[in-house]
Amino acid sequence: MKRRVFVKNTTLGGGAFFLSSQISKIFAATDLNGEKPFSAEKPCVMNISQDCAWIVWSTSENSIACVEVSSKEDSKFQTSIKIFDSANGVKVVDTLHCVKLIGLSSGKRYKIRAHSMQVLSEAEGGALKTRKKLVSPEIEFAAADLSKEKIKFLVINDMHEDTGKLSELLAHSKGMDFTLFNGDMVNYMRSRNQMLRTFFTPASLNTHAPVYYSRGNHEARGAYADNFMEFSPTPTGFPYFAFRQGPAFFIVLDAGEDKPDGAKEYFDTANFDEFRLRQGAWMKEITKTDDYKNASKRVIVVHIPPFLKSMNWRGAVHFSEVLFESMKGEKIDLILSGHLHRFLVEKASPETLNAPIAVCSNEDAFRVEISKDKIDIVRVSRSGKETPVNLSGS
Amino acid sequence: MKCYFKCFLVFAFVAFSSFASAKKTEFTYDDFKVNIIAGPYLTCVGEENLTAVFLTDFDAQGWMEYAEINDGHFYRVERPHAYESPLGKKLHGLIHKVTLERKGEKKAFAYRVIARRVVLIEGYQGVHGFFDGHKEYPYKKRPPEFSLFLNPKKESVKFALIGNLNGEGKMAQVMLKDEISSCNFVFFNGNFSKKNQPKEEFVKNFLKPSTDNLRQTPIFFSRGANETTGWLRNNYSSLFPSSTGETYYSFKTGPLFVIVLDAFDVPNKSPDGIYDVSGFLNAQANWLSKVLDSEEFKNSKFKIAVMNAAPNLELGKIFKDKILQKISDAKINCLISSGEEFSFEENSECLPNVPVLINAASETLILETDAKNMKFLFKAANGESARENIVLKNGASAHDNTASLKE
Repeated sequence: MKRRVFVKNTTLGGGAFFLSSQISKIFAATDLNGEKPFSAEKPCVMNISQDCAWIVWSTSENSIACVEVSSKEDSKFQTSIKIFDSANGVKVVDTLHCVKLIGLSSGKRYKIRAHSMQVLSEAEGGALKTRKKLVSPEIEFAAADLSKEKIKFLVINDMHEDTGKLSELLAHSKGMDFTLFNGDMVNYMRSRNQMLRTFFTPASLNTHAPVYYSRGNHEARGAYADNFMEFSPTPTGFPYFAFRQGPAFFIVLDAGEDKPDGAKEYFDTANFDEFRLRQGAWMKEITKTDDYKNASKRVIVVHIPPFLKSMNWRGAVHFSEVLFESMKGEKIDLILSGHLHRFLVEKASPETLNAPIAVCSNEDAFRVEISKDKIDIVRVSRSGKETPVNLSGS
Repeated sequence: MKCYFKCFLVFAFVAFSSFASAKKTEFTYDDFKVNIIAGPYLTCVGEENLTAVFLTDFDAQGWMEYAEINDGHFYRVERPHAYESPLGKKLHGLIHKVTLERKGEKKAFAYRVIARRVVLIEGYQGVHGFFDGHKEYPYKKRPPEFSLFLNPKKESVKFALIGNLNGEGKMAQVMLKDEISSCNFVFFNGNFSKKNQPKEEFVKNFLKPSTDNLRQTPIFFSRGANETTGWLRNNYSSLFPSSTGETYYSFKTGPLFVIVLDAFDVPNKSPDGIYDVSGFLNAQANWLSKVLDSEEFKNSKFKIAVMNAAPNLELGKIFKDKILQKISDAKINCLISSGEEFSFEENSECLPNVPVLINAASETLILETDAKNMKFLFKAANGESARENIVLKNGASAHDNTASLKE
């Protein structure tokens, strides 16, 4: 009798447990109408030049997306145009959207709204069944203004997924022309959701200025590292690119990984020597452009600081060689780096292309002001304490 | 109590045995092997670069090894490798696009592609399996000075064009077999797949058989309506990369400037559908303006446009007003399309000023050009001439091109 009761109770209890777990899953996945909740994050204006910019944002479900863009004076978007996130004419159905705006005018102010429409299914022939269109609040930005006499920007690096610290430092991006993330914003690129959660979404939410994002060595690691360009689309299609803002020409470079390509840690997947050499060839072409030649100040941005004697692993050494070979004889005014997790200034010398190297720590940001005559850098702490930086190294 | 405890032990034993038997304890050869199932074929060719594309049946890392002509046996020394590593890390996947960049004097070279199975990979850490690769593809059928790269200074150019194959890869083999050794490149002018064709069928029935004999002959592709459907819709650029990253592009070789267009004749032109027709065509029109304004275009002796769809009013207002109009205004020498039947019209309603040649699906169009003449030859599948040749003379400026002489 007791045995029968035991078996009966066990069966009933186990069945009830199993059923309740399935029911709770169903309710978690759907709202009361039986559909999954659909949301979209704030769009991020990225990698602006005088004639183009990228708008990047994520949605919770697969959707098609477009950016509505108009001039700042068009208060009701009456003369706006819509540009879809598409590839070779086919709208992209995905959870991360990247729309390139072209044909911008230097210095002109624009406003945008991001439209996201959830895709439920696709019928034969390409007809889409969609639901729920979300429209972001308006975002205003300006195309890079080459005539501007002074620019100021914020540099943040090596946050390594500390979103609290990132948000505090981004509070100082108010009034800036742009924010520059100089690498190692995450520990690894493990998945898209992880990138969004630990860096991109908090950065988009808290920045008060358009963003440029240079790749650090940690962004080259992880299962999702091959997809880095999803989070930093550039005119070159690579993590190295250039842009002009005001009187300054910026060359954003990528030193790659720190060890030799054959190191056991890379399991024969690394080919950074070739990557760095390709970058060197590209740098030589950049120096022939009018934007470069006509700039009053030239700044190199690279996560791993070059030319430092203490940096004697292959990545830094090889990158320094390539950089020096490509840019020797050129007038470079500043090199901005990170990686060291401490503040450092290496004064200009023939070995550093006659440019000072300013390394930002992982606790502060740099506020950089560049005019045609001078460059000023101030270290800004999380609390807002400011300390001027002496680029002569003393 | 003892009885309940025994029940529990029985249950635990059964559960553990099930788990243990479900876990794999041995690896076999099949877990590590990989096969190259199509390609390599050479495409996206420029003056200093070309791309080898090939497909594998499992996730793999792919690369190219190459040897200069007259440098002895391929195995004489360790040959340089070219990897697909745009961001510095070697990519892995099922479709491999390895770009070779070479500066300086370029002549024929031998190459081969290798694939290595990726069994398990997580970031950098991974387990790799066996290799697959072909014997090297030699230059033996080519003269030593033959170059796979484009050369704007060449005095003459010859290429073969076929279109509307609708998935018949073996037909492509037959139609091109007599031309390969003498042509600088071949052109697959759209609709080479069937509509809504799944991947396996496309690779097996078209991609592999059509490219098996083209290891040392570059191929250019244009997208037709069929390629906007099925598996190719979202994978076209992976298989057929171009210098612009788009399905429209241009290149100059010898005296000839080629503009490849895409009419984007999709099955659903509704703005609410999956296709962004106006965005795509407007972007193409902007690109075309820059090309037609370039010194390279203006200084070329002969200029042609190639696209799958025959120019007609059904291609839509944007294509007619913004693309065909520009082509007409530029007075290029000829627009080449593909269709079921041949036609040649010197002054059509859709494209005044520009002769339109529609190449029949069953014929191979051979185009030979030097600084003075551009000759069109037409060959049937049996290799015989299908019709009279057409010659366009005096290609220095198209508006002098008043007489097309049929030989």
